[in-house]
Amino acid sequence: MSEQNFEPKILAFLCNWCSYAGADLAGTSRIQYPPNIRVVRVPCSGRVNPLYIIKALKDGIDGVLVSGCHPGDCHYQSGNYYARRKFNMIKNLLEYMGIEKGRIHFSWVSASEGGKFAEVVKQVTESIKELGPNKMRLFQNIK
Amino acid sequence: MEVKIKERLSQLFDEQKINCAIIFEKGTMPDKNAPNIIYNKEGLNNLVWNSMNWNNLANYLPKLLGKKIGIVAKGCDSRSIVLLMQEEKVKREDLYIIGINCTGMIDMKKIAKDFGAEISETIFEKDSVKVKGKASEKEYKVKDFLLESCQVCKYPSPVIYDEVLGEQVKGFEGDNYQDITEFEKLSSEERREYFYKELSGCIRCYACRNSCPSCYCQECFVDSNQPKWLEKGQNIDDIFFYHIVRAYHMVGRCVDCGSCQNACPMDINILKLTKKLNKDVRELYKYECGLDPKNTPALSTFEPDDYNEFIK
Ligand code: SF4
Ligand code: SF4
Ligand code: SF4
Repeated sequence: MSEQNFEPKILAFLCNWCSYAGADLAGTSRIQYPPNIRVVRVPCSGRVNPLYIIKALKDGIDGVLVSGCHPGDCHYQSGNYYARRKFNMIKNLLEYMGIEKGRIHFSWVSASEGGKFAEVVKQVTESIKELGPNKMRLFQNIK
Repeated sequence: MEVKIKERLSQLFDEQKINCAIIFEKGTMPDKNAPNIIYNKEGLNNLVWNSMNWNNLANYLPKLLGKKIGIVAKGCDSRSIVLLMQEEKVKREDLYIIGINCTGMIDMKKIAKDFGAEISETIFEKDSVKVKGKASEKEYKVKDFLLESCQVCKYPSPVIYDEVLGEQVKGFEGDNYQDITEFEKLSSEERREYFYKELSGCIRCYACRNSCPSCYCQECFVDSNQPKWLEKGQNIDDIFFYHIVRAYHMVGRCVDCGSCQNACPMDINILKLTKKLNKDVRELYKYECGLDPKNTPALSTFEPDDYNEFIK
């Protein structure tokens, strides 16, 4: 596949209560967004073990998006607050080890933000397209 | 120091305040001491205390849960004890802590390189070591060959103890993560290449995990097969995976003791990972672990106004 028409595979972890509903709304409102994401529905952004992100990257996914309820809106009161610390740390660590900025993304999308969801997916897809295929999978090629 | 430690532990055994003790003994190799758990006074005969005692002795505490334990603790060991208390892996009342004001441990790997020949004997004086080989012998000052973690140790004096031995030592006052700040300035490519080269040498022996007091999981993720996170073998992807996750599991839980790196047979600079996270935790959440048992670990708490800029 040439760089030009590279279509990234993106894994999206969406929380059941906000972002998944937001994605649903985007769908029912017929808002167009890139078809590159594969959605995994999770009960809460706090349920996303950072290992999932690394495992996905290791197994060859090109980018990851994790999305949950806005701070203060968590269905379980504080799951997203804990998640935010974890995400911050894993993002810093991965980027420090040389994974490009722009491969992993986080967002807060509420159930009423269908438009925002589509916008986020657009941005995420753009940034990963720009980076090209996931290099972690291609470690063997850098020497 | 050695005599005093023996004396005190012996008394504690007599008074039945402890029924086991974690100490250092002479190892099978002349350039290493070995931690050991002893259950009676006789065990004290083999006790040594010198500048090769870099292992973090708190590592053995979770396995001894329920016993009355005597432990000899340097600054970093004591921080690990605090951390384990926070995580309820050890109870304060089960411990008798003989704190040691630590003057730093010696980097025998570096000395071996400098010495060039096989080391057959090491003799410790107060602040130097005489290294003997078959045909040569050389003396080294401990302070010229300190371990990486000891060079920038902020807390050489125990933070928790029942009694302390040795004179008060001043901790490192500069920025102990200066090297990380420098490294961060490199480009993403350069950093990736650095870690690629560095980690390629890893043989996944897991000595780093086994020597770390914060790594006490009964089943480590690397051994789990349901789910199976990573494959066995020397695939660089799996090596990366292991190191990313191990480091990540140390977020807000690493006391910078250096045990992991010192235990590594392949001389891999893994402190580069944990130090980065320690630095970030300190900057973002104003937290340093292992200082006060009453503190909540960084990832077990939050502030509503935590750093949010990285989220869309
Ligand atoms: S001790 Fe060294 S070689 Fe062994 S797993 Fe850790 S980094 Fe790899
Ligand atoms: S990760 Fe290494 S430096 Fe940190 S506590 Fe564990 S052994 Fe010590
Ligand atoms: S690496 Fe992680 S899972 Fe393994 S023992 Fe350490 S903390 Fe536990």
